[in-house]
Amino acid sequence: MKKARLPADSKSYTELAFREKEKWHQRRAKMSLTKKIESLDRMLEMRKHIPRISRDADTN
Amino acid sequence: MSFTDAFRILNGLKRRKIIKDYAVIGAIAASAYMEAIFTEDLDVIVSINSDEEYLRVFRRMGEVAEGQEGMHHIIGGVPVQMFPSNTKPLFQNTLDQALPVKFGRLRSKFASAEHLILLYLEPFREKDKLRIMNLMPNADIPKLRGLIERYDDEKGTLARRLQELHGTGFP
Repeated sequence: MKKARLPADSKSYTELAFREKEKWHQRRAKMSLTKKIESLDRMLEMRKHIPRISRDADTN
Repeated sequence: MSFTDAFRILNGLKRRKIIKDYAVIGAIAASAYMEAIFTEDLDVIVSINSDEEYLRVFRRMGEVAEGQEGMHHIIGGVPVQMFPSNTKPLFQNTLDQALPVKFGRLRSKFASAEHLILLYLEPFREKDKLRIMNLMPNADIPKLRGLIERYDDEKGTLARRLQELHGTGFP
């Protein structure tokens, strides 16, 4: 792939980024069941550390 | 606490004949066919032949489980919901036709993509619709059609719902 310097708001950049992201998701779908269960185990373990959005949180 | 621990314990219960057989449904089973879906619980169909057997198994599971949250038994730190196979012909067929899977050193049985689609067509919530759309490329269409003919209601609700999602080409 040809490397080019592109500004972050460039259309070429976002198109490329979304195309690559789509490929990444397709690879994730084809991943082995062992790796998928390992990844779900990690998410289950991490869920306690995921911040929750609170409507009445004091942002000051 | 992990799904791996929960599977290890469920397999132990099967070895000890506390449960005869089980098949995984829900998000964990769907994850075998698509990108893994984050879930906090494990849904399984358990082979049960009578209400007496269900009560016996439910009681034994209660003794083995680390706790209970509503209808879930906490197994390996994971809430596990058991659906008795005798409560619905589709549950029994899902269990009978579940596919053997191996992950790491563990073995289990997961519902087929076609059975999962049928199970998602029943509640048909927004998240179920997304899962059906993701499962469709993996489905054997003649098999799915056969299951819908067999388990749909008189009004053809499941067929209509699938058509709504998948266009007029189905079933």
